[in-house]
Amino acid sequence: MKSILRRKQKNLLTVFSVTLAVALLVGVGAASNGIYGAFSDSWWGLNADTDITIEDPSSTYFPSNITDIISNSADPNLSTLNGITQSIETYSNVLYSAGKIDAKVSMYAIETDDPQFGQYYDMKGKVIDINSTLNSQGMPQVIINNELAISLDLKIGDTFQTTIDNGQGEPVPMTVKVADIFDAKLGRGREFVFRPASRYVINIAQVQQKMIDGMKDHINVIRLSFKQISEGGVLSRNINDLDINKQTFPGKEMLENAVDTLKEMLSERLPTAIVRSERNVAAENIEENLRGLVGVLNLFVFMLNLTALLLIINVQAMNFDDRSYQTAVLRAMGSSRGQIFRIFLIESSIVRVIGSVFGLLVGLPYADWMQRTINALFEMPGADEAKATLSQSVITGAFTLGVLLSVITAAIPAWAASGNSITEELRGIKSTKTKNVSSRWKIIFFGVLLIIVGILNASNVGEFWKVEVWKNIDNHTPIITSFGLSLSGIGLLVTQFNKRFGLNISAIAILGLAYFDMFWGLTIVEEGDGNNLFTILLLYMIIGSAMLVIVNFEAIMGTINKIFFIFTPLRAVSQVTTKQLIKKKSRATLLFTIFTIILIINVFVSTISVTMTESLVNQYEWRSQGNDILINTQVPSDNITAEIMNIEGVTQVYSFRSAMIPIYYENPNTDNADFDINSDLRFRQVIELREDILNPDGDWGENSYVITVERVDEKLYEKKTGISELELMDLSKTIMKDFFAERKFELESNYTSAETGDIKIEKFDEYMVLGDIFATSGSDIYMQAKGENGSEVVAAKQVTASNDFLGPVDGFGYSLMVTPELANRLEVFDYIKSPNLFLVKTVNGFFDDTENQRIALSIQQKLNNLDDPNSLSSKLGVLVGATSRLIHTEMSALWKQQAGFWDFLATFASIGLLIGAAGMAIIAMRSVSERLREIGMMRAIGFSRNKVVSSVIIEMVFLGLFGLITGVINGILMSYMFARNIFETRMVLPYDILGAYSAIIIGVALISAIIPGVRASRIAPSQALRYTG
Amino acid sequence: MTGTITRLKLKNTENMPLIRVNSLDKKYNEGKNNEVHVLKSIEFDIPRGQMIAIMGPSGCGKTTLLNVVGGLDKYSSGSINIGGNNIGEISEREMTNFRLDNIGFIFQLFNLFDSQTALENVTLPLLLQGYSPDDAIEKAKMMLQEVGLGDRMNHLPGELSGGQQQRVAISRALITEPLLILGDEPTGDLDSETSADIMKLFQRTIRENPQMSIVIVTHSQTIAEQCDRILRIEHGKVASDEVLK
Repeated sequence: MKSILRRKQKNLLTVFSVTLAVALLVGVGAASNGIYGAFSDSWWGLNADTDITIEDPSSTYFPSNITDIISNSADPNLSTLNGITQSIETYSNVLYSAGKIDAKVSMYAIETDDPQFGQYYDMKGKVIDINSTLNSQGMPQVIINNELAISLDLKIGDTFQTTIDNGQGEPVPMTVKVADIFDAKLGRGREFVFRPASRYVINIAQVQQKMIDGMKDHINVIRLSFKQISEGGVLSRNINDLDINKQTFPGKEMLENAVDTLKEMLSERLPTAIVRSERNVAAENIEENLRGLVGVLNLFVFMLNLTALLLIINVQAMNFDDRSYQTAVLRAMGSSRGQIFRIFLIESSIVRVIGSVFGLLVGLPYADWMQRTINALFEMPGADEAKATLSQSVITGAFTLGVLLSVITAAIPAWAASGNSITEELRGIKSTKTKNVSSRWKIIFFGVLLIIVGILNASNVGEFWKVEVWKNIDNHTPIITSFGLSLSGIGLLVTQFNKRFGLNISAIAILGLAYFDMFWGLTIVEEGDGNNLFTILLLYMIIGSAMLVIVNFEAIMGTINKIFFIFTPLRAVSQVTTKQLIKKKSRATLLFTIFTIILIINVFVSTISVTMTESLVNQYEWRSQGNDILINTQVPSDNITAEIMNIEGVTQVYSFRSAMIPIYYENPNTDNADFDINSDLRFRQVIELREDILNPDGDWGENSYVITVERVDEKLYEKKTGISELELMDLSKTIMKDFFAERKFELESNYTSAETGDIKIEKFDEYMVLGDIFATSGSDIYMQAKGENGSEVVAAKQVTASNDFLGPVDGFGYSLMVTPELANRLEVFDYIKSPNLFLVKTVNGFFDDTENQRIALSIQQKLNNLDDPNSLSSKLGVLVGATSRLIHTEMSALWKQQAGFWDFLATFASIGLLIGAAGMAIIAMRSVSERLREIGMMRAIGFSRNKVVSSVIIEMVFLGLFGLITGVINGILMSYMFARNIFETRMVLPYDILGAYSAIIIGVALISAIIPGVRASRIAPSQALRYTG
Repeated sequence: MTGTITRLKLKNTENMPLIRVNSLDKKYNEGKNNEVHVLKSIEFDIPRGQMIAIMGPSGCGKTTLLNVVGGLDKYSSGSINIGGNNIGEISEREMTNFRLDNIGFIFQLFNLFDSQTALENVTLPLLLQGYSPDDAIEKAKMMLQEVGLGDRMNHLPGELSGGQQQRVAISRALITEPLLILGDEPTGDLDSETSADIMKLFQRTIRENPQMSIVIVTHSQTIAEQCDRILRIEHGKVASDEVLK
């Protein structure tokens, strides 16, 4: 203890570094844990107490007496059914003030007397009495969630106009009053995280009244709730009972059986119904869906933990390094090696346990913040108020790991220090290890072993010299590992003839393998998921770069010294400093490796973030082909185009019909075992393209409007990647010509099923659909349509090409585009006879949000304003329900959502910078205190104070610079590789951010050096000369 | 050849002693409870061309005296005049340069930079003075050859014997041709034969440079007797001043 107290400052620094490391371990552990936790909690909880839902996408609405069939069933698989409720769930529009409308408000019409499905809470946490609130006489009352209230500025007592679907797709206006505002984050009203967070809840009876005769008892969703274990059932909805890895929970099998029973039960009445348990789907998908995200996070966690470990090792090494003299004294006094080892171990363990405890104290709030950030980022319920749920295992794991790592990293140098040569240490000479014959044989043995293991490992992959093998990304890890091992082994053998040459071979081999795979291997990949490959590539880059610098450290320092010798006042300083750095090579290596890792991560995150933002927005500027505004209307009308054209500033309007329809990605006939309704059915937007609108001159010339294509089918058109924008435009024109060519239907197959009767599957002649990212070129998709022979299901075979036009813009981007011939066979277009989707060009530029917004609002006002007798709505006598989107804003906003993830990673990565800064400060302080005697010597022979400070500055700045150079180069290369191979875009370098990183690193180095350097230079040389460590 | 920094020139003090110490007091932790009064009203002169031994029991203030004379430590009161410059009145920066140009230090534990070769250790003061690397190396090589280390120039201190290390330290002290050499037990860590060699080196140096003075702190009567004069310090005061030659 005396020794600990005597060396207060040094031990405090050690405690600080261990604190940082353990805090980091806890924090990052919580982060990756939290991702699963937050998602599972949200996905799990979003259904409140609903266990199974029944919907019918083909007929949309169905009679409510279906619920009676289920309720009255005596099937044992439904014996623990606790409640059944029916609802109408659809998107509706809300007109909340003159001309202002939100057309994407989800309406939830419910039965008001089913407490089995949870409750709504007001903003004070009080339960809302739905029964009395939604059953009022007079004007229908609704409760709205707090997010809708904020976004539309609605208060309790306000009224707004909405439209109700009459069951045939026609909107019927209804004025409702806001009776209460419920908390979207609590209980039954919890919002599904990926749906627009706006909802109003209304009594189902009031909605049904607006429906046409014959449909007044119709519903579109049935929900079932089963008894939980505590109520005598077998089911548990407790999140803690969900096993993410095994993808199961108590009652999963029961729900599966119940789903099968219900499917069978409804096969006659509702043959196309979707019966599914979201709970089961969530349990099966959480792990898979989050694998990529968690993979990236784990990579970061690994890297940050590595830096923390390097920091601890560095501090440990320093501890023992500067106590070598005392060790020698102790040994000279008669202490055994074991005794010294124990003294060191006990002493360092005490310090490190204290550090670990502090680490936990810092780590817990840090983890808490981390989880809140993740929750907020992914819009999890309770992002602000929920207390982070840290698992016991994360805390104990991090603490134990912190202590264990500290003790292990203390034990190894302690043992080494206890074995140093007594006489050499007493004379102040660094102990030298002489290479004997046996160690030479050990190296040869080890080298040969690495070569053999490498070759054996390579043989598992097969013919790695063939390009075909490289096309599977899963083969890369074993191939690269094999080469890495073998070439390292060869390098080791060569060290016996020329050490530096041999080690350079190993370093270049390791680094070269990483670059080779990044710049060639990954460009030809066609299959596999590449688990761990990026971790390995990153590790190779770090190890290879670090080795290159270490092996050539003396040469690099010699060159630096020569450069400094040009400047007369710096000659002596440079000579002392470069030699000092060489002397402390291993420590210098550890520090610059820390910086390398941190910078690779930071440069990568910032570069990719900027690359994605800039390239996507710019790409879409071109792709938008001059379109600035997208208008959707609830009511289709032939008059809308002219109305929009009359608005000042509008130069052109393209009009389309569009609708959401169910699309199957597998043949949905009942004999197809591959068909899975959960994964093969999507509601997709289809847009009808008309040649007379897109190609008015019939020649696809200047005045034509071309939907650009991104991925092109190999069968019809030559597959092209990386083509210029003009080439893409030419290709698009060719494809559009083919798209509008005349088609025929052909009978593909004829199915007869006992359950569904006759189903004729017809296919189009070929290619009548432009696909999107979900339906890529050449793939088969199926949609329900009217066949030529009156068949019930028509299969649309093969997508022409995948368009990426307007990408993620809601309402247009990622939509399927169909020919008029096919559109007319889709039932939905029987109701949508006129355009309801409009692309508007204005006189303003793509980025001129202010002016375009003004025009967009004018369009909305002109179409929607019922108070204006000249508005289209007034003329038609129905709210047109026009909503507008600025294409540029939408692009940027949607990107920003994704950018949130990168921002989070950037925050996460910047923690690394903190470690680097702390590490630099610790090492500078320690380095100066160790060199105190040397500083005294320098002062005695004529080094000025400034020269002493310069010496410390040069030492730290060079360590920072090494890290900066290796980190930035590798970070940029990795970003380039990701941008090109993974995100398929051009890398954009964020010069400002890179400049900031350089400034931070140099700044940290300067501050870390100046403070202790100035302090040391002020100590009287006579006092510094007495320093013994 | 000197560098660009303005340096203090030794004044024309041919007829004056090189060092004049007047009423020198040095206290550690001055004004605090644990104040130690190390040097008390020390007075002495050192003429040019003289080698002086300072002797006295451990803790009497010998090393402190050497440090304050060399400007490595500050004194509490009195004055120290070296070559016409009162070192108590010059700035820290001037003192550093003054030390570089005019004073050479030699320590018991050699205080060589262990990461630098013998040659590099010796070139350092020259580089500080602004010598070109080639000139510095050439001059240092000559110096090391003079002290008999021509074949050890590229060895690190750890690879040299104690006597060899001390000869490197002496070379480093002499390389700038200073007027004053201050040695703190320069032979304290060496055997008698090596000590004698070192003393011969000092004697030769002072013979060849009659403008120079050498002050060495020693416990050894044998070493002291090879000097021109012995100054004995006891309890922080000059107890005796014995001229031998």
